[in-house]
Amino acid sequence: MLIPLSAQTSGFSLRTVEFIEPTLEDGATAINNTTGHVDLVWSTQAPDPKITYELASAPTSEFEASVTRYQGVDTRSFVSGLPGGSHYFRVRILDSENPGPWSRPLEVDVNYVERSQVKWLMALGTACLIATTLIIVGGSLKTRKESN
Amino acid sequence: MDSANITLNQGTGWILLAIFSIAWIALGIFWGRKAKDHEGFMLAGRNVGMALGAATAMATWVTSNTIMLAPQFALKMGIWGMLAYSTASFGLFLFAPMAFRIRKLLPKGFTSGDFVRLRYGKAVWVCFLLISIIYSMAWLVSMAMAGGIVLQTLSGIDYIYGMSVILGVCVLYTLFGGLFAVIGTDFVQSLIILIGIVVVGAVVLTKVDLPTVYNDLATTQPALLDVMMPVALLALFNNMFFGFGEVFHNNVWWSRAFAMRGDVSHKAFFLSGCLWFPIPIAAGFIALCAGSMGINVTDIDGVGPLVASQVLGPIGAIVVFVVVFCSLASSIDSLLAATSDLIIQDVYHKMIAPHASDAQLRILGSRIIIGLGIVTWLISLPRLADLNMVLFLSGPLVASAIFPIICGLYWKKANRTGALIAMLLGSAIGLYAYFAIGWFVASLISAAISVLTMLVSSLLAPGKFDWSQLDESKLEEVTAEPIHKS
Amino acid sequence: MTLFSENFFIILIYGSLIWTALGALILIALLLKDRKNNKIW
Repeated sequence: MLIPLSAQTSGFSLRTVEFIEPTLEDGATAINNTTGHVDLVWSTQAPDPKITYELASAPTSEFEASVTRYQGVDTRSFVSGLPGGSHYFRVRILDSENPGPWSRPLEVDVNYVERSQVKWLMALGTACLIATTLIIVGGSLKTRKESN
Repeated sequence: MDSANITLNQGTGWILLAIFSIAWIALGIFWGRKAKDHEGFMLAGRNVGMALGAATAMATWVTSNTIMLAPQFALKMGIWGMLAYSTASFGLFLFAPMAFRIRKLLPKGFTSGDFVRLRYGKAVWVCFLLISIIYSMAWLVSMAMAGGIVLQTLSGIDYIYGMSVILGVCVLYTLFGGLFAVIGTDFVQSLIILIGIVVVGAVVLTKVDLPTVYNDLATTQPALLDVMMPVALLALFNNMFFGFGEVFHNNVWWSRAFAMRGDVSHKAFFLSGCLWFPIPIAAGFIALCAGSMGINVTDIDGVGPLVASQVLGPIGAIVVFVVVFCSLASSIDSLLAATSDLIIQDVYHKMIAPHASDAQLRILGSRIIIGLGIVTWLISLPRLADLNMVLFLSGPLVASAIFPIICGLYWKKANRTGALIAMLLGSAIGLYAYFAIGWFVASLISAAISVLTMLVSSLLAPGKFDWSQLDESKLEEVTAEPIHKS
Repeated sequence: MTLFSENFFIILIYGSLIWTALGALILIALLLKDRKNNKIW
């Protein structure tokens, strides 16, 4: 059980933010994702439409090479196009003077479907497409010739 | 930039709805006067020219899904998402030579059911009708629901009102004008759709430059530019064959083939495919620009209207509203007309009352259009989320009909047993695959089973079909016997 | 992961918009031609 960040930064307990979606399954430490896109939703204990948030992501849990994805008053963001691998997200309240503490990082592991399965379906599809085209185009040419 | 309010105010929404509703109904009445008899009502005089022919095929295939989903596909699956969607136009391309062949073989044909009945006999015909009507109802209901949902999202108009108005308007002008009204309004709607997409896309390009968008995507959303994006490629051929199944079997497209002039139908369908192909890309790419424009996407379902209203303000929301309304109307009217034709011709005229008079058919046809509208309305009322699944489930059903149809058109050897087994087996295994493996294989597997069955059955028990049997004008009387004897 | 090239991206998008616009013009032109020959429907 992780120590809540609010206990680490005294006096700022109202300014902690947590991700409420997607939710981790029991016992899991990361979200398993197969599509490369995820709907992130976060919340703070005292929600206020005037609060500005900052959403950041990085390829490691230490958040080196962190990228700011969003700054604004929305409490959700649709993130897509994530390449295969682990991605870490965190969010915090952003004020001009003192930003709030970062939320617990959310780990999203993007595992796309096996390339071999894709290739199998592509092969089947191509074969069916060739069959369809041959029947229609070949049949059209043949029947036109017959009627002339 | 935060996700701003993308809605029009309700008053504006209602005014727009009223203006276009009155316009379509007025045009429907005006053009409907051209129909002198039941055949004219159903098939617009069998003389539709190139411009109207190409436009109606293109507009009917553009649904609100095309407008709303294309940006979603782009944002979820990137370039391949848009390209995969564009392949839905292939159905129109391949139907072009089929339309030529259909006109040749059935000069006095009315419906796709006519072909199946004459080619393969009653058993296959009944199976085909079931598949077709299930799919047509699923499409009709999904369009009605989409109308209510999108109108509510864009303007706050309550779901039930929006859905009822769209459905009611389409029923009315289809009722008054038949296929003349449908095709005429489709032309106007097709222009609005094309121009609307170009306007929004062009304005987006004035706010952001593509090299910047590309670099931003490559940095923060690189999978969207992946040449082998797995999620998109996985469903590519499945969706393609779902599309083939829809176009090759359904009376919406066959009735257009019968309605167009003989020398025009194949050219018009080919052109319609050309017109349709770029639409998912032109409508979808705006979602890819969201990041570079600093737009935060909070609701993926509304990403298209979100970007449009960010760049064009309230005008953008109006453009999307109008384009979506047109794409819905152009599909719903076609479905109402074609499905009622199928029921009137195949079920009533050929099965129950072969000696019904023209006036009787016309009156009953009107009642069936109203009846279809009511049934659709009732099913759409509760706004059940799972109803979309019914449309996806119809994928393996229609895909199973692909090869019975195309083999039936070109191969003398294709036989009725093979056709029946192809449809039953393809549907059954496809549906099983839907639940056992996933939605992204169901239609493809169904099509694969279908082609194998047709091939094997034609080799094992080759038929020797005489093409002249399809030309009903040569028959002295209608050959179908009534199934029900009162 | 191989990415589509920037040039491909740009040509795809500009191309699709131009093509869509051309489509509208073609439909109008065809309608006028049909009207001249009295072959609209």
